Amino acid sequence: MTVPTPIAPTPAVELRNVSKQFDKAEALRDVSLRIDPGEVVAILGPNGAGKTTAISIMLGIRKPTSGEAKIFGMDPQDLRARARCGVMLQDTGLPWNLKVGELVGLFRSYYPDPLPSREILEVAGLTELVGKRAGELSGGQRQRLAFALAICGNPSLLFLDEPTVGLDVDSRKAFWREMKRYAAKGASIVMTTHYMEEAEALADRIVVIHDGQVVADAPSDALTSRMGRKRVRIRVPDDTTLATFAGLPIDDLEISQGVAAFMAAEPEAALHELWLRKIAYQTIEIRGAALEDAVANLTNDPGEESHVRIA
Amino acid sequence: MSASPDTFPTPFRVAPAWPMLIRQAWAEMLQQIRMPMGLVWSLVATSVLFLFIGFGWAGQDVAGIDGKTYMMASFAAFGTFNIMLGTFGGGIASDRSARRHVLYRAMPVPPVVLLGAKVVVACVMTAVMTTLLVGTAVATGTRLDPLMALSLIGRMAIGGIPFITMGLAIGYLVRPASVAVVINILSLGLSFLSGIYFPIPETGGSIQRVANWSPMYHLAELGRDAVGAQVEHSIVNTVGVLLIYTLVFGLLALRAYGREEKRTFE
Repeated sequence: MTVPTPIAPTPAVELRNVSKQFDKAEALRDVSLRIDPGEVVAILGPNGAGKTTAISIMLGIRKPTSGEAKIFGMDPQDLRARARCGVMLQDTGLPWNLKVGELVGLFRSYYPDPLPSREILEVAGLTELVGKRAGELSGGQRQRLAFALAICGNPSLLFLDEPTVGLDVDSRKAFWREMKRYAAKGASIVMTTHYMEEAEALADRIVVIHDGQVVADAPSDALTSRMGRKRVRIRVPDDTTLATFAGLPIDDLEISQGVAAFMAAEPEAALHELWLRKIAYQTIEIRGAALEDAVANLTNDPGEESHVRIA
Repeated sequence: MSASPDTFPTPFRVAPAWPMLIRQAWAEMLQQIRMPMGLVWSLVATSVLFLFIGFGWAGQDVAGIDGKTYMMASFAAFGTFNIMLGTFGGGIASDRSARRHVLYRAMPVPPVVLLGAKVVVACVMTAVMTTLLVGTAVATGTRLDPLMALSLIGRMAIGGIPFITMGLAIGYLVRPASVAVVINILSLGLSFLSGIYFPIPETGGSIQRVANWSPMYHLAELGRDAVGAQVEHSIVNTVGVLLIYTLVFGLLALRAYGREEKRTFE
């Protein structure tokens, strides 16, 4: 079936004032987001922030309580829109007693213009495993299979939910290379990840969701430079305690195994004050704020002193 | 690793449904074939039970035909019930348990293709099971007109449709871990009340009154009629009852599906 192509330019994904209510919990509040063709966007935020709900609504798996979601200007449940998407979801099973080649063949049949099987297997590094049952694959191989199935339809929009969980470092780097290549072809990619390094390496834009709201939407550089603070690590004497640092213009202080780490807008001033207090610190390391710090800063509740683990 | 440098396709289209259905049905079939225990139970156990129980009625006149032939038709209904409920009730429960239904939901696959593939597989398995059963009976001395055998096989494959809707209802209503137990209890209970283990004409009126309410009984009657037995009700009546059960279980399945939709996808 061929239908007229919607008039360009149309965003690959658009959420307009989307809210989602689960019983008494509000998972998303008035979220608006536009992802253009060719953009790679990482959605970050703590566990329970609303990332999965946002992706589920983009995919049409869930419906918004209010607001509107569109893929290529169409309802996400429209099969024509879905036929242009590839999906790699967490925590969903496959028919485990089918072989890799059979699964690729099955998923290719879902799409009108699939990639050739050989190319899919090559891209995902599964050529040698084509005759192996999915249930016999290791965790990392299963991730590669999930990726292979996601690209079967030669998608213009890829949704990747924690795509590199379970992959070793080499496989992860190979995956990044493939993602960059795929994005260079003009595909949009929407991903969630636990690895800040991954988001920095792949994403043009970082969208931070916290408590169901978008609290930041900017390139990684812009987020980190907005921090205006630096991370400091110094080696300190064994008897150093939190009290040693009392009153210094620093935050996110952690002391562990003779190393103190903290964030400071003016590291020189803080270190000078420590020197005045006769603290014999050494091995100084000062670097700009990382994406993890920026996201933690955005998602930390006011007054909370400890780090927030980014999920 | 290298991706092709081709451009993305421009028109918005969906894949043709028939190749998708064939692939999906083949995948379902392979999954069944690769579960040897389930396959043996679905296809062979019916013939084995028939050998143990049905042989006792050989040479006796039951409803105008040889008792063993009568029992063969009864066991065909028993096997059909188990395959239909296993494929649909068990299949849906397995998809829910492994969250495959969430993945399929994000795919450009019409739900009718997923359902249609299961229907195709269930009908093929029913036909194979009935053929094995008939083969077992013939190999052990039962004389059966080939047309009657074909009629029995066809009637089971199509007459099992009420159990598809029943399986769907169970698959969506019952917790995935409990589905197998529920199906086994239903299978044992209904087969006892439907004259599967003993001919109903030999048991007096009380079982007959209860059997009239059992969908498995009506499917068995459809089979018994195919092999020339005198049946209690007209074939139109039997088909009508099966249609009513299809509708009732279908409505129940729709309601259960709606509940599952709301819980998982809203």
